[in-house]
Amino acid sequence: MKTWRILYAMARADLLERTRRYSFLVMLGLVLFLGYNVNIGQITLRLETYRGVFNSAWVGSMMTLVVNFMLGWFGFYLVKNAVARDYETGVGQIIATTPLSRPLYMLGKWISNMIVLDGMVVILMLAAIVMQLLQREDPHIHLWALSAPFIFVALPFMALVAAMAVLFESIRWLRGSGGNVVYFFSLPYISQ
Amino acid sequence: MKLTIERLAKQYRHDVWGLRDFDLELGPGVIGLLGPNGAGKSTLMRMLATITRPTAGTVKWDGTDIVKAPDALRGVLGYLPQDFGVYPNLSAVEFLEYMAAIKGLAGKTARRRIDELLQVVNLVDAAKRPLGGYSGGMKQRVGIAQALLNDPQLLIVDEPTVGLDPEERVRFRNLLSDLAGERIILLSTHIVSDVEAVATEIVVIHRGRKLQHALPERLLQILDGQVWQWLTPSSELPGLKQRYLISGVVRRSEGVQVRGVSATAPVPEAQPVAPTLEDVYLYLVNQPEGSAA
Repeated sequence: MKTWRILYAMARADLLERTRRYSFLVMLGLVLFLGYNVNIGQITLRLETYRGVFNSAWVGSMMTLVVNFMLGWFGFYLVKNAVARDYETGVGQIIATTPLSRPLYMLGKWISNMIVLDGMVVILMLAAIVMQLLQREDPHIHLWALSAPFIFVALPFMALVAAMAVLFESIRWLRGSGGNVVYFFSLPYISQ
Repeated sequence: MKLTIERLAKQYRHDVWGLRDFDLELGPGVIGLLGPNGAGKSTLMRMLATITRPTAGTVKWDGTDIVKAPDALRGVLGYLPQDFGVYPNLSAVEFLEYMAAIKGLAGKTARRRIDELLQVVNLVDAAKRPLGGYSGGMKQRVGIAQALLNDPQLLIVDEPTVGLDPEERVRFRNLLSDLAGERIILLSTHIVSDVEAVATEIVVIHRGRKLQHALPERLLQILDGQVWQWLTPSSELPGLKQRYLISGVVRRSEGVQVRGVSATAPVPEAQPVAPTLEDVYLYLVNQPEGSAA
């Protein structure tokens, strides 16, 4: 019970702190803009002259690709400051004097990262439904077909990105800009 | 309730010691840890707060070595670091709720305690505003509130009045006085007036070593009959500073009124005056290294 309370408090504090920053809104706007472009066919996958019909399965899959690309790459930089913020603000010093264990602290940061990224995934999923309705190429919403790519591809990938952010912050030489460069070039290999 | 420090040392580099051979035994009360910047106060505080591990020596809380078992202290510890920071986009209530959960306080107990503390630190009206818009003094009050969340038996406050305006400084001192009781409050500062107002015991530290640990009145006795005050032309001031420890200078229309420490009257017209803690502090930290006060 106590553990859950701590994890909840960490995730809540981190979420409130992050979502009230402009950088979060900018990232959210950017992701939504890309999602919109997917739905209007500006960003799409084509096989020579063939393309998918804008039904639930196709919209869900395309949006998941966008999510994985955008949040996999840039979402990492959005959330990779949870530990650094505690260090920079001095809050970490106070946390270090409490009975909170290091594994629980790291777990809390991972969950908090994941909630931020998953929140964006959910918003994009809802946006996909709205846009499919507006598109009207196939007006029937098949919720499972649309959400399955998000649930089985995007969310696990966000869990990985959230964990990578915590991992990079806990390894001294990966904490700074060197770590940012390493991640930028290693993501294609990580996501394979 | 006892904090025992034995032969505590912290070595940063081969020849750089933050603290060396430091012994101290503390019971309930407000203990003022006084020393110039770089004396080793924060190093000591961080080791007592279980943030930094000592290079040598032991720190025991009621007989338990907290270097080996830090959790024995952490549950009853409150700590306000020198460079206390906050999450700027959280309100005081949200931040304190977060810290309460981390300190293991349950929901209703935490909420009640937060309400009490917001009143104690006089932040009820600003409790829902983002912390980023708080003044230095208000942030410091949030800092003391978070340190008191778990009703600590050991409260460590490191240079708490730095950056506060005079009114906020007085308010903070009064708050510390009110908190004194059945707990050990360790107040680190280089501002003598801060400890003068609230400390029941004073520890003077310099160059990583303890110079004195005594009651304030006992410290004052060190310079009984050795503090003098006299009037002199301002042109003689540089020469006087070389010969005597000058603890105060006040400009007068006839010259300067000098306050200095000397075993005998520096000039025939010098008048003996009662020593202050500032005189004693300056005297102690200006002793040559290795000499006993």
